[in-house]
Amino acid sequence: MKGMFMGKRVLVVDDSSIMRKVISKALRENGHAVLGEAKNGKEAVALYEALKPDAVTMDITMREMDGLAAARKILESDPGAQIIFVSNLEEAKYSRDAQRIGAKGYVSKQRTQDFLSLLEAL
Amino acid sequence: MTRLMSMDDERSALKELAKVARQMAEGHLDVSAPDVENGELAELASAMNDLAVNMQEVLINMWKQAEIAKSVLKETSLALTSHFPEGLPEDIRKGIDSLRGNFSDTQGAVMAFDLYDVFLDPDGTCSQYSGGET
Repeated sequence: MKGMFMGKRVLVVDDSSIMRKVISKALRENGHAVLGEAKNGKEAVALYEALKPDAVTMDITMREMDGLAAARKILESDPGAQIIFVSNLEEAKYSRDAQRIGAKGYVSKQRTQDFLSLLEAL
Repeated sequence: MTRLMSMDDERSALKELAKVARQMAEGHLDVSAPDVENGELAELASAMNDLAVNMQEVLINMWKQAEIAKSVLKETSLALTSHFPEGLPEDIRKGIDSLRGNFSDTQGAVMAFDLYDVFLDPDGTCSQYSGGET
């Protein structure tokens, strides 16, 4: 029953197919739906526009367009977009960048459960 | 509409893919297989790129896990020191040194690879070459 779905509809963005698989599995196992997967920033911007997800998990280091640039583009067109960065980069520095852009949070890929807590708090 | 490649074009694309595969195998994960129009060769190029990206992901994860382990080891070592004011017993000290060496060797092996847009600093930080927002 559509009205009973309490999880988030999420777009997963990561250039690594293994990481997309890990994140998507964690989302599904915790009651969320994966609306789509993108492997770079360009695909993420296009899929966000087409799918209008509730939230986005966004990697940073990607070819074509990186996650910071993609998040800026998404937030320009939808200031209410709920973006959580999930990255290997140094948390102290890049979480400040994420906050400045207007993202909802930044979590390390070494703590994959953390993005679930952030997502559920949105 | 997919344009058909001539035999010469196919041979040239295959040669280029073989060159990139060799570079990746030698640890240059910052290279990418070029766009190719032929269906099978395009599939091969895409799979090569996925393999390199996934390998980089695993390597960075290894490097970061070793960094976390080194940090825990340092804290543990400090905590133990307070219980041994005369100095750590030889076997414990040797064990800690050996583990620290193993984690550093793991990080050294990862740092032998050329990674795409990621800089692993010996001080323990992982940054983007292209700089981020600041």
